[in-house]
Amino acid sequence: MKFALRVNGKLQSIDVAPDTPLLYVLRNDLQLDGPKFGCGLGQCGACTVILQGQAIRSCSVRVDAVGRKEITTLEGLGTRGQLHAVQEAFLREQAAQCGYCINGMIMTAKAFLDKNSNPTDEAIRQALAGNLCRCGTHIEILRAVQRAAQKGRPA
Amino acid sequence: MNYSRREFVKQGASGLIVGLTLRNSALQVFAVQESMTRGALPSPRSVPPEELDSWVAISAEGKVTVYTGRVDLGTGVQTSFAQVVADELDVPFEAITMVMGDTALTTDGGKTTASSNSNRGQQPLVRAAAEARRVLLAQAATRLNVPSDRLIVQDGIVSVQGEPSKKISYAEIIGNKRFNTRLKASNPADNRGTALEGTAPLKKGNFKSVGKSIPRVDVPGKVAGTWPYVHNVRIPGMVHGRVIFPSAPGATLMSVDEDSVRRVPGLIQVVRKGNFLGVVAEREEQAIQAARQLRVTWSGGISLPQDKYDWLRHAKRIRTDDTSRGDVVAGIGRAVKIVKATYKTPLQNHGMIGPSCAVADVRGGTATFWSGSQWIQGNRRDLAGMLGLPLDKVRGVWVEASGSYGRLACDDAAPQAALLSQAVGRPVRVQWMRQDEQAWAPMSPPSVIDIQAGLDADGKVAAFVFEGWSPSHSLAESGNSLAWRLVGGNPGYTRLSGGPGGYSYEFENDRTITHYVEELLRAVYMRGPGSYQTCFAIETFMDELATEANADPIEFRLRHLKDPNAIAVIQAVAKKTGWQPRPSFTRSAANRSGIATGRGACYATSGRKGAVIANVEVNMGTGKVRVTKAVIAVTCGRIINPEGMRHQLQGGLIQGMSRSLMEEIKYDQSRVTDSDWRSYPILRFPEIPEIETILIDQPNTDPDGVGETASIPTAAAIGNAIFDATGVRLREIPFTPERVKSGLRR
Ligand code: FES
Ligand code: FES
Repeated sequence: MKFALRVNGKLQSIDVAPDTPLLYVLRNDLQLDGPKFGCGLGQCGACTVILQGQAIRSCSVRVDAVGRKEITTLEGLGTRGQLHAVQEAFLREQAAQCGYCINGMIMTAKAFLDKNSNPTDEAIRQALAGNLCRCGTHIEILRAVQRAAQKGRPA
Repeated sequence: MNYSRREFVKQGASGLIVGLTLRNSALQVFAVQESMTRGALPSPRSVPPEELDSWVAISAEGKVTVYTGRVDLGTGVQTSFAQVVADELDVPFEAITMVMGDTALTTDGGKTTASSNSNRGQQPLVRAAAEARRVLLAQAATRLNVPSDRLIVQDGIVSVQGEPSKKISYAEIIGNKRFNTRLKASNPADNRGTALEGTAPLKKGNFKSVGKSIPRVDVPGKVAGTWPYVHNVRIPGMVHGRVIFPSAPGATLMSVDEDSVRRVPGLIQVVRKGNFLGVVAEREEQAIQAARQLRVTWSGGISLPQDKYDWLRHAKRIRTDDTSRGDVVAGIGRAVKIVKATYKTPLQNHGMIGPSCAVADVRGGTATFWSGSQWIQGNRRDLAGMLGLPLDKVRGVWVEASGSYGRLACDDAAPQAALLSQAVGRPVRVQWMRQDEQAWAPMSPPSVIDIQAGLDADGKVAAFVFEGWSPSHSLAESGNSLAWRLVGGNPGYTRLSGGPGGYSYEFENDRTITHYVEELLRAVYMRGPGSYQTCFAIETFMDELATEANADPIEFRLRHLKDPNAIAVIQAVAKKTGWQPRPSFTRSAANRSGIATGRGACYATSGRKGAVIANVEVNMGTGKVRVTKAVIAVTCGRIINPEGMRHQLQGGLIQGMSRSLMEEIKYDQSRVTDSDWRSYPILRFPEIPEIETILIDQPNTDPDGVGETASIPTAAAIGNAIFDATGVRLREIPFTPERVKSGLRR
């Protein structure tokens, strides 16, 4: 079946079965490698993308449920030459070991910070509670989100 | 040097990569891309470690390419290796690019395990760099017509002392040319280059990059989503495979009903070879659908014991090691108090966030595979053996995977992809589903440990007897992949590892007995193999002894230690936390909300010394344990990258904490029943404690890795803190609320 998706500001047409998880379309058809497969069950957050302002788990969303809503992936947030503030904060805090979880951390944090400009440490921890990291990069990640929050805060 | 490698070096060094904006990581990216388009070029049997050109190449622009068979598991060695080589060679850090783990381009290098990259992995690189510098200086002396002792080097420019206008750059001396210099292998049987010798002395000081927290070269790509992971490898014509795992380990495949998947769109083939079963389809979701839908009957399988700890004691023994010091019988005889305890550590899963994934292209009698293996050469041998191909027809290219902590010492996905690719004649990508990784990954094996000790009248250990039972932690290393087992291969791989990690206590009389027993489920080492288990037992026991001796647990440990590094780390954590000496536990009633607090100490050695003090809160009603703070001190030789090391320590601590508080693989009569992150939960953000790290630099000692040093002592530190808070002694990992509660009821 043919679909037109709005991804990172571009209209993309694809031809896949309607129940294909969005993650496979992003990775395999559009070659967007930011979102990662971790569990396919909505439990780890590695596949997170932003769908019209909401951080969602692309492994658990069917492509036919997306419609024309704007999808943003890690690649759409910023580029290596011009990182988004949240990506920049992760870089500054060196918040990645293997980095496999980092897509989910950045995307979840971005959507969260857009709605909470001045979060407490506790609120950040809760916002990331559904994102798993096995390398134990949590402390650097928390610092990065705090740094990004401070940057975004009106002085 | 083999054709492909020579050409590669030429291309790499001659600046084909300059157009890429990825600075230090560029060549690794380039190498991976090159392999994707060229695939199975003839690969040498092995890249000779005694050739200097196997390790270093300098381009006409002065770019330095460093080759190593070691790989970066997300710990940042790609950066720290470059720091060390830059200093040894006297070039700027930015001039270095690393090529890691490509059997066509790099020496064997051995396994990237046991936090060994910073010593065994780095050592030959330092040697090679020093040797390269010596050769360059000798040539500069001839070209500038001065004795070489008048030369100085800065940033890759050799100049004459006092005559700065007389100079020549490394690039001018050797740019794009070979060194043609032989290194000496101090152990000629060692084809991994881990024991190289050169004539040039190594630097002992005046480091420019070493000791600085240089930002990691991989992080920019990782936050931007451009970093190459093995999960992202795409080869022209590549299709997708999924594996159908047996109903239980040891089960026999009875029948496959291919009609059941006839209507799955895009299906290419159902592949069966012995007990190995897989499907290949055009698209990934089609392969998943086919794997789910395929009707298969299996029969039989192993039967698993209900009580694994009891099983360990009676399981078939492969080998028993028995060592003693002094006379334990006399020691026990002299003791005024005898203390005995048994400690249990369960099966645990490495828990890679991204499950196993690999791509293989097996066509026309050659094979190329892309894998996150921690031992690409081992995986290559395994693959060649399984496919019946000569070694020089198989090329393995390492591409970073999800952090693997030992699990990818045997990449299972690559041999599976190879079998599928061989069957369909196209490159195949295989990725495991979450449940596959939870149930079929080789795991950290269980152990049971008995310790008995006698205390003398002075409150010192008069005799110490340790007896442990565990399967080897190495049986599922490369050479023993699941696919090879399923197609009926019998690799007969029997390396035994994971015995007691040792301790630095100076007991007058002690005896250590280790029984390596048969395999329970496929096992492979996980961060601190054997040491994590042993340290939990010994360090909990030391705490129990301190209590029996009515002594402060830290003071009691120091009574039995002479090693200055051990004493230094323990004193450092005690000082940092303001440790007040007192015996554990003093009944400090829980506060009004039913929370009891406690502190626990642990000392660990795995070569490097580490000490941890943990603070916990125990909910006396629910039994839930929360670690509120952990302080760790380590010594590990010269520190290369302090921030990188801190991150390793924090990561090790958090992972160790997760294992100790919540992780245990569950199984029924014949198979693992965990299938996801609900059945096998790990520590999450709200439970992460405050962590402080103390790095004790030893500038005159060669560097060593620390990834394990932080994981090893966490269990006992937490357990001892729970005892301090509640008086409940936990001798079985994990410290679940149920176990704490049942202790409180007793
Ligand atoms: S992969 Fe989507 S939540 Fe884990
Ligand atoms: S950095 Fe490896 S899983 Fe988070």
